[in-house]
Amino acid sequence: MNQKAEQIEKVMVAAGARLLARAGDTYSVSMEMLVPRIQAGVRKYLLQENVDSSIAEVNDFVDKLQADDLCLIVACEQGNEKAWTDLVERFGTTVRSAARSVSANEEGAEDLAQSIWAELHGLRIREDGKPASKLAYYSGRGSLAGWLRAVVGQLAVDQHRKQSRLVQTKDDADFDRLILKDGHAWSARAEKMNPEIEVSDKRTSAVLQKALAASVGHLSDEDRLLVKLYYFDGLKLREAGAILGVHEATASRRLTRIHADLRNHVEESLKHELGWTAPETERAFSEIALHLEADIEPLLVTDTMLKSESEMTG
Amino acid sequence: MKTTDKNEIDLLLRALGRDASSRSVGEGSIQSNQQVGAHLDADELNCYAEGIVSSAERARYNKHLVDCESCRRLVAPLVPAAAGWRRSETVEQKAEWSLREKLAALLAPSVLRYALPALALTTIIAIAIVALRQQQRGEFVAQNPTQRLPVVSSGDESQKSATNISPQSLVSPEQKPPAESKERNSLTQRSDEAPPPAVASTTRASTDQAAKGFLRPGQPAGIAESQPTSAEPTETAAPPPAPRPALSDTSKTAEGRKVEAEADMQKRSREENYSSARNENQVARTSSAKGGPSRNNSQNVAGLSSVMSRSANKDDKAAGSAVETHRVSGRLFHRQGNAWVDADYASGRATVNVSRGSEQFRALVADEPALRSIAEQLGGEVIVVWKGTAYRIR
Repeated sequence: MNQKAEQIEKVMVAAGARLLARAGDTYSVSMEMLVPRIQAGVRKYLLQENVDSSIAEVNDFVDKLQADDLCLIVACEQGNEKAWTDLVERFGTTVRSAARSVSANEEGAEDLAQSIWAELHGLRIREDGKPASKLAYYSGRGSLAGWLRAVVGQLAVDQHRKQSRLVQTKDDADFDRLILKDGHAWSARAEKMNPEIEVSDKRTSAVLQKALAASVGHLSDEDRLLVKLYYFDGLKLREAGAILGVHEATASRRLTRIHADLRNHVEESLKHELGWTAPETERAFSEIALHLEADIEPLLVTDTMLKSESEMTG
Repeated sequence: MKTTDKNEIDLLLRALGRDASSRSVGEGSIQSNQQVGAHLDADELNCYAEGIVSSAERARYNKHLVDCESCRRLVAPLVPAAAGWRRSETVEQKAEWSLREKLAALLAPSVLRYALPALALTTIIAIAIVALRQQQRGEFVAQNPTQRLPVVSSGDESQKSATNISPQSLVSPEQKPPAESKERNSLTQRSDEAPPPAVASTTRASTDQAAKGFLRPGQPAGIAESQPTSAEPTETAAPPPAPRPALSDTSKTAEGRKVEAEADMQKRSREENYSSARNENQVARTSSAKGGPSRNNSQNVAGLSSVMSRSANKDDKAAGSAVETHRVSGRLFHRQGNAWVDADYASGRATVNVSRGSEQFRALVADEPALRSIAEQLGGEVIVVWKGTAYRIR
């Protein structure tokens, strides 16, 4: 085992030399600076998944690293001024663009972008006397531009959390409690918007909704992710498919299959757990579909009004 | 209203999603953090968005993303940006390849494997085409002597060309004087314009037969066999008889020549062409120009058998391609150019030149009155063999 580890270490050193040779501008990055970064990446992405990774896999991993981006970031981490200048010049636009996409206005985007550079430079000092920079987490596996966008997104979420905690009002908390009743929060708004729905229908809907939620839990992770992205996060099928790495058409076919699987699973659970017959299950689906179709349009109108009101106030 | 299964489940899921999102608004991402544990860091999110993770990693990240709304919200905008980055990377790579890689691709073994045989095949075809063209040109050169057959008329010149092909007649068209080539071209053009079909066919037939007739027993068959086909291109381009060239063949024996000439004469008498008719007119004109006694003599002299041998075939008569002959005082003469040549005379044989009206001529006809009759009947230049001596009477 130790022998294998030593072999991998040697391979990483040799691969580091090849990486330096591939880089257009090494910014005077030495092997001593680079190899620890390569080792960290190999351990995180390769050895953590598979301890018995082969030497060929290690070589392949290191040879696919972004040589230019990694040398630039390592040089910035080492305080190379030229590297910092190049980083800001080359990726300033990327950072500002990412900041604008997650900010409400230009001023907020500019503040966020400045915060990013400060985070990258490191506001705190580590035990070794060097600034604790986010640059240390860039592995070089993906593009530096993509990594910077992800950093901007994370920072925006963190800032949003802090602000959300501060601005959350008592009314919001009350609203949350309303929609969270009964643990499933099924059709809370629909009930409010349709008070004439009979008690029996409400109970049927709740049963169906509970069974559906349980059925979704039985889907595979990838199918559940598609359902979450499409129905919960409101992404389009094309966007959801892109996240899953499939084409829109594939995502559509997969969603159709998921519908059929969920329908079968819900019917089975209603038959076995509640003793419903097939005609009763069929009738329950038809009735709930009628109510939901009737409820959707006013809900959409309400959502639009709420959005416009929030934009006016805030 | 009947709704489909898809619509019912779809409506239920939409409602479920609306409620879940409403719930998350109040809880923020605090609940997610507590439930899913450590979030994906920026590097992992970026690798996932750029699609450069392994299947095992992707499954692990998917498991986290299903339950972590915060990471889903982060990764969602990264994916389109990563797709754009991948496209730009691909374009840049292709742009870099445009010079270097295109050359490499052009000289790649996979390309050369098909390109080299194709190149070799093309070269072979080109060489074959050039060789064929040169061969065709060579055939044209071989046809030149036979093309000249009608040019030198149908008489003894054809005999000469068949039996004794001179080096001059074998000269290619390119080597011939431009004037001669031009003349031949114009003749060919004229014949192409409106050749009489009957004349053409007869001419070809008579030329073929004439060529066959000149084949000697020891002569290679190739020469005679090549003539009928080679005579075809110039079948309608028979010009007026050319001046008779000097004959230089001295290799034949007198007896052999005599037998051969007689055989030729008999054949030609059956293959008279249109030129014979013209020559006949010329003879008549010449005779009339010589004075009155010639016409009277031609009608009155006893034993004089003037035979204009013509083919029984009317078509052959119209063609007039055979040699004009004349029999005077029991001797056969045939026309060669402007001269009447005794059938017994062998070309190249030494002659005694005698001019009409000279003292030598008067002495000769005094000794041999038959020669006077021949000279007066034929007119013009006459070559006659008399008692072993060839006389050229002018």
